[in-house]
Amino acid sequence: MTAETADTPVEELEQPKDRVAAVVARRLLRAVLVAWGVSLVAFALVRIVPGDPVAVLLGDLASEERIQRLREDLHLTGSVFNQYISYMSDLVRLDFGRSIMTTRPVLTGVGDTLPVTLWLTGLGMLVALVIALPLGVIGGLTRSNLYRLGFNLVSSALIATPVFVSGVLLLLPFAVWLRWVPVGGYVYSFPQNLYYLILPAVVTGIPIGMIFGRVLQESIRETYTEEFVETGLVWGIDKPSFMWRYLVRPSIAPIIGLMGYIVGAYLAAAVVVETVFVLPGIGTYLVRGVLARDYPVVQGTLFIFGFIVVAVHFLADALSAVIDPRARVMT
Amino acid sequence: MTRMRRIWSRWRSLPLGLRFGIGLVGAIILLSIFIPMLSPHDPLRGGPDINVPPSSRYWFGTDHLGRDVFVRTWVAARIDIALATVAVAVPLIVGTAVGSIIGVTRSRIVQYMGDLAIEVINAFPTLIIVIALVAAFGRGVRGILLGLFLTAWARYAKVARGRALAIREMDYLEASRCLGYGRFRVLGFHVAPNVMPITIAYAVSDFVVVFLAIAGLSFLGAGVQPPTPEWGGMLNDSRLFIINAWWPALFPGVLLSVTALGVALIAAGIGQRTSKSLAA
Repeated sequence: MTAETADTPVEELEQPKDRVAAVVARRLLRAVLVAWGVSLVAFALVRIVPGDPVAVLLGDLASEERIQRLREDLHLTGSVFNQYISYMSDLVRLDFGRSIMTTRPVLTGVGDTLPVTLWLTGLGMLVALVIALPLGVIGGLTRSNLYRLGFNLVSSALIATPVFVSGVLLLLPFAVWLRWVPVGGYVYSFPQNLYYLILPAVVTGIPIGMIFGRVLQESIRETYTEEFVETGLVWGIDKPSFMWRYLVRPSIAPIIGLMGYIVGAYLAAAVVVETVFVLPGIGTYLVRGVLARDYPVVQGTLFIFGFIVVAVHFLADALSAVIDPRARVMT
Repeated sequence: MTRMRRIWSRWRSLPLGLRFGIGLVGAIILLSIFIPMLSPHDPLRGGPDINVPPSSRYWFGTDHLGRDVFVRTWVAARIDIALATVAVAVPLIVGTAVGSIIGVTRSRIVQYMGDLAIEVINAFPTLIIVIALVAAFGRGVRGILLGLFLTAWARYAKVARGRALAIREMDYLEASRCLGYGRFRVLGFHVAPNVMPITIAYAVSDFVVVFLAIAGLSFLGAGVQPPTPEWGGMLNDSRLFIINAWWPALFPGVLLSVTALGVALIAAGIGQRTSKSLAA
């Protein structure tokens, strides 16, 4: 990676502003295409069910009328092409159909549950950053092998611990013995909800923070070998501002590039953690839908999960294209 | 004697983390083979001793149905490791083949569509797409394996594609084409052998992801079904009783993490070595 940038001619690095716009536009087109593919996967989901999904759901004793209605709700009438047209025309109007279990619209279900997950994600990211920044910066700057070995081992162990293990095991000391936090549940008003979210956020934030910290540490070490760092050292720039301007700030770009992946990992962790802590988020909504084979719910949430990841990926790409000229070179 | 010594010195030359990881995983596999054979307890049948703390009779205690947690934990090790191995091996082969084809093809349309398909599937977090597919295929081992087979290949295809693209212009490929070898011969005997080391190295690190996904799916009730012992499922079973009995949750949880750590250390060690050998 560094070898490539060193070989890149100077003219290519000093691109005019409209090149940035062009790159962002191409990335947007790509993101739209991928989002369309995501909708296609959600469409395919009901169609790969072995046998007849309606028969699987309703059994043999259901009335003809009910079977017909569910078939229409699942866009299973007519040719595959017609099915696709009716699915897409509903999708662009944000109509994800109705839950089979509760008969409530899936969009309402998502609207009720997504905020809980977003709260959890935001708080968890905060925890991750609070952990990652000091650990990563110290790891990048220190020459102590003991620290590096220790951080390496501890972070490996914490990344390898899935959230349902740490979640279940932390419930016992903090919720049962010390009673600092509740065993589970949620309230929908602002400062009170933090009480229910803090342990889940810590549980999800720690492994993600360890990944952040490692990337930051590697990045700072790489930056250390750049010539401008040497120049700064020769100039004798005072320490704190040197650290920030020449070491930490240029090293943050890889974390932004990682955002798409991190959000994906985070959503997957949220699905599990919400079950552990009985939080009424979109993960719980998805899992309940899966276990009850509530296809409209699964289809709708799957699309939304995919869409969020694609959108964040695009934003991260666009942001790194704006701030880091090296990221503008199309691969 | 000299052979033993050679193997030993080779072993000593490996990075510490790699040796530690191999030792950890090797020990867990051996224990999972022998402990269920030697244990006097039945992993599926419970007894009258419910939620008994760890003792000399029940080393890890018993769960809420009076089953021995020790033997269940080690039977679960077999199931988890075997499932993850299968769930890695099949996508490894499929993904390497698909990625190699996309990488070396001259057809722009195949390349573009292939890339797009890979990107779409990789857009979904593993756990989420697999659990959604479980809704289609039904709960249980069959459902999660089908879900993993259908999606995990795309990660290998991405890695393989990049490598195939890099070696496409190499002289030895040019030479094999000049010799008039057919497409499949070039792909099978010249491209695949050069892509495989990269995808296999990737498979070791992907093993951790898949292994934790399988346990997570079982924890959520979508994967391995009770009463079959499985680490994620055991945690789910015992979390409701954790106030009275922490041991049926602690031991499977710790072993799950230790196994994942062991494989992750092996993956990191292999990663170090391959990046060195590629640079050289």
